[in-house]
Amino acid sequence: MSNKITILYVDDEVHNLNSFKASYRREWQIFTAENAAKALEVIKNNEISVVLSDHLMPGKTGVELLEEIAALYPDISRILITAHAETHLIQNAVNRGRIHYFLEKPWNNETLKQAIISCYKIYLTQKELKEKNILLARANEELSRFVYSASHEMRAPLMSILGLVKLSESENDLKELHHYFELINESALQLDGYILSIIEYYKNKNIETVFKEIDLNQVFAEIKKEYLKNIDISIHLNIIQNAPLYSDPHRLKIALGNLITSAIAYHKDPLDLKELTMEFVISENKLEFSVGLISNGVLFDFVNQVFKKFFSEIDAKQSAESFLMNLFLFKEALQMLKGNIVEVATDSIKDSFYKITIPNQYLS
Amino acid sequence: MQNKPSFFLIDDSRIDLFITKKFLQRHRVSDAIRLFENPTEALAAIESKENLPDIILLDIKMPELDGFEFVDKIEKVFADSTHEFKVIMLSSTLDFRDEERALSHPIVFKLLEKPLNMEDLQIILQQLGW
Repeated sequence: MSNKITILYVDDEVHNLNSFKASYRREWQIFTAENAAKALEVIKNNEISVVLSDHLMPGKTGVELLEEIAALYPDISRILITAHAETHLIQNAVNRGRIHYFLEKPWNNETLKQAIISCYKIYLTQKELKEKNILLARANEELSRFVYSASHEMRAPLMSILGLVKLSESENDLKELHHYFELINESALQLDGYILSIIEYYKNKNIETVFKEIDLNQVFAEIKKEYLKNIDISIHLNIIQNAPLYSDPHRLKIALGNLITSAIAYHKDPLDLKELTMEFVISENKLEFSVGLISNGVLFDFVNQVFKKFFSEIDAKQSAESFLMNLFLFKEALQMLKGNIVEVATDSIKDSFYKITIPNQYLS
Repeated sequence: MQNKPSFFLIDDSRIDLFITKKFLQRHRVSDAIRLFENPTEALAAIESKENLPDIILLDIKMPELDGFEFVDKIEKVFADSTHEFKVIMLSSTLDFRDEERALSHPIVFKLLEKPLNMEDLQIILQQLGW
């Protein structure tokens, strides 16, 4: 841990700086500055974790410098050094939270080390807290977006059901009534699909990642059973396998299942859809496939109409007006697989397509 | 004006198209209803400026081209010419932001909640002179 500690020592007496550097450079990374202006320059250009500053200096005093650092770089831990205990001054600075530690000159080696270590710990904690806060804010934002969009999406089939019920109240034709019930059934299944997606989202977030050898044909057999049970479609796989594939089977299934489900759902004419072809290339370090090539057929339409829009809105952090739960789950699962998605521009076709790469864990 | 308005219904949900059409037929509101499951096709039909409807019932949440984008586009089509029709937007979740946004377009007469409430619609039709 100590080799990561970067220390800035500020003192107007140059021989103090030199001897400090000589004594501690093996243990820590030492920067020095002979006045406040130079100190701020060093902080600007280096990642400093602890600052020690002498108090009595021409120009800005140590307390003034540390106050300034506290305001500009609150993460950096601050130690004040004085030759004569000016109790009033120190008390004031400590109480106002401007310094973390106080050292009296001349210091002994052990005291200094203790001061540095404890200040470094403060620095680390602050930094960690800041990073966690950023992650938390992001997770929170994502969650509220998910809740907002999920409730919107779930309400749509429910409103259809209510509409159908209202229609059936004053319908005398039995055949028509029967048709209404079929549509109610269809809407209920759609609603159930959304609820299952939410459960899937939860699982995707909370289940541990496990890498196993994967047979893509098997994954697709399961996708067919779980995602496409009500859809009459045959999926042709072109698999070019140059190495065994190791990844997380559960998330791979979620990613591909949701990609295909949304491609089908947003196809121009979903009922007319009978076939889907996908090509996968597996090498030692990755699994690759493309969506949006003309040869993809269904996926071509889908990418140009929906996928592009979805990913540009996600990037632009817009509110999810055209939010698609399936695509969201696809993106989430891809993230957990550490996969990435790149838009590729082509010359031959006007439209670009997307290349999706998922790391093969075979070698690791 | 004829005695009954003609309609375009634009909604990516086949079921909702069916429901809305049934409501209109049952209440004998219209004899000329065209359904569009694909907003792009509806846009092409409007761009042709032929056989335009009197009223467009437009869903908001469509993945390919949502209701607001759709309205933007038809406003461009009629930037230099006049049109008679009015747009009524439909949504399964009323959001005050949606309402504000919808009514900021002069072409949009009203935003209604799904499933379509016929009494509300009939009041609107009266207001529009039908």
